[in-house]
Amino acid sequence: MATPVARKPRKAVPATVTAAEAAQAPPAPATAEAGPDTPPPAPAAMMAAATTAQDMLAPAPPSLDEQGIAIGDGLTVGWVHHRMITHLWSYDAVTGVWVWVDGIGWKRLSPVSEHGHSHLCLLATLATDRNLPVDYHEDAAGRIDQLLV
Amino acid sequence: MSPERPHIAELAAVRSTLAERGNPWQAAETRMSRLPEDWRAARLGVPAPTSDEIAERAGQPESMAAAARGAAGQSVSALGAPSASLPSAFDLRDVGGRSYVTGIRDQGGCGSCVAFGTLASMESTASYTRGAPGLALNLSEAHLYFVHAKARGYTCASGSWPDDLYSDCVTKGVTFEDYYPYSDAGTGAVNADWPNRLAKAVGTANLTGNPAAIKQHIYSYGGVVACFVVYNDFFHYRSGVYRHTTEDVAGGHCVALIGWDDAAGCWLGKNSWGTGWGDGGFFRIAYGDSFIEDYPGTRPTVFGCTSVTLRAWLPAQRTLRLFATANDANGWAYLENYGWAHLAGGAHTTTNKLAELTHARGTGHQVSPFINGAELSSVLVAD
Repeated sequence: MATPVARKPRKAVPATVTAAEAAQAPPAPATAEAGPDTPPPAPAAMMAAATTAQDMLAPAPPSLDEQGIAIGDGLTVGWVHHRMITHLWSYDAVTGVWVWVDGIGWKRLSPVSEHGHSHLCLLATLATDRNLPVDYHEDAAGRIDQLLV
Repeated sequence: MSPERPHIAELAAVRSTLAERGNPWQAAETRMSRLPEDWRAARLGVPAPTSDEIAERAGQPESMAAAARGAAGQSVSALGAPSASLPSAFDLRDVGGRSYVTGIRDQGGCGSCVAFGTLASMESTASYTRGAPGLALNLSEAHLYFVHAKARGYTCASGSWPDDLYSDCVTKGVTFEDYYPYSDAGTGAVNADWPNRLAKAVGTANLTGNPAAIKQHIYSYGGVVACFVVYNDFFHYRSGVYRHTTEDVAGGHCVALIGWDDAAGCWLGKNSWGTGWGDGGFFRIAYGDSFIEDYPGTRPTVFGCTSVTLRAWLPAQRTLRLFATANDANGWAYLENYGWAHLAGGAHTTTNKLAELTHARGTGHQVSPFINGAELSSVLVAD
């Protein structure tokens, strides 16, 4: 699977990543690398393949405070708040979009489902285009599986 | 004293009694004061209790007041409540500076108060549970009373009961005011498209005789409808904490309770007699007074609902937030005056809606949403 090369300090990738770079092994993940169809680890309702009925059980949006910042006890683990997405990178795979999170680095958009991946991509594009801060949630493999813009 | 203005003497007597009791509330000439006795009675739309039914409730006011005060600090389990325990005072008109109470209405010369109290409760719940004070829902009392209640045999003269009307709000739903504007004569007709402009109550709760449960419900879900015995001095209420000063019963009435104040020992109420009565149409009534927590008789008289679902086009508004997950069809939009709405349909329609909404969010274009249940089923984005 192709992934962008992690760089420090942050650097735009799409213009500089070569096919060879894209083919390089990704940085060692914190947990075992998931396959393209591996669902995010929690909650249990998301473990099965996505269907309409199961989507209704999928996570609801977080509560917002009066400034529109996500709040709530359930969001403190796995959630990263108020970050900017400055770059987008994609390669020729159906679920091949990564985003650069300012101050953190490249994050892959979860490949759990093709449509879900496209939805996350839409929101990431909006955030980049309009310089809007995002809140996002990482799954156990460090991929963005929930995105709030 | 002019015979055309008999309320002047009546008002003077009330003021005299209040003065003897240290003026716990203030009486004034209100728009109800000026009405003849039979016109006042026409606005009391809950069948009056018998004297025996009232006598059987001796001691109830004291026990209800004690229970209401004892609820302070009680833990709250509802996730949507502002905190984990009941505060000593709460007002849905000022929750962190936001109001979840719709405007004061006027039922006119019809005993339709149960419809007004019921819909005031639903309107409050609809906005409070969504954290959307801008929802400004205005439901049709005419639809509830002159269609649904009428089908049960209720008339302006007969009055009605909140258990029946809340049941209709669950099973049939109520359209918006613009689809059947209210007039106390019951004239006009409901728009034939009303099933597509509809609000339904969900999760009704009977809170009768349980002040702690009433507080829990208001704090967690919004206002409740409540019936109480109206004594003749109530028509002259202007401000303060009402306690009846006479035993002359005028009838039964229904309002919405929207908060409480333990320090003053009272509920906060929203009436439907226009803004020319009471404190701009609102009032405060002492815990236990006038049997407001449990109306004399056998019927339950305090109800609320835990949510309100809509099926309607809502006014154009901004999209403030968008949310998606890695699932195939799990997109959400936070609409300025509605709150979070799940994007209806499967994966493809979610993609389409998200594309429209990201455009609207990015450019500041307003969107007109069609809400169906808890879902955003149609989106109109226009320049």
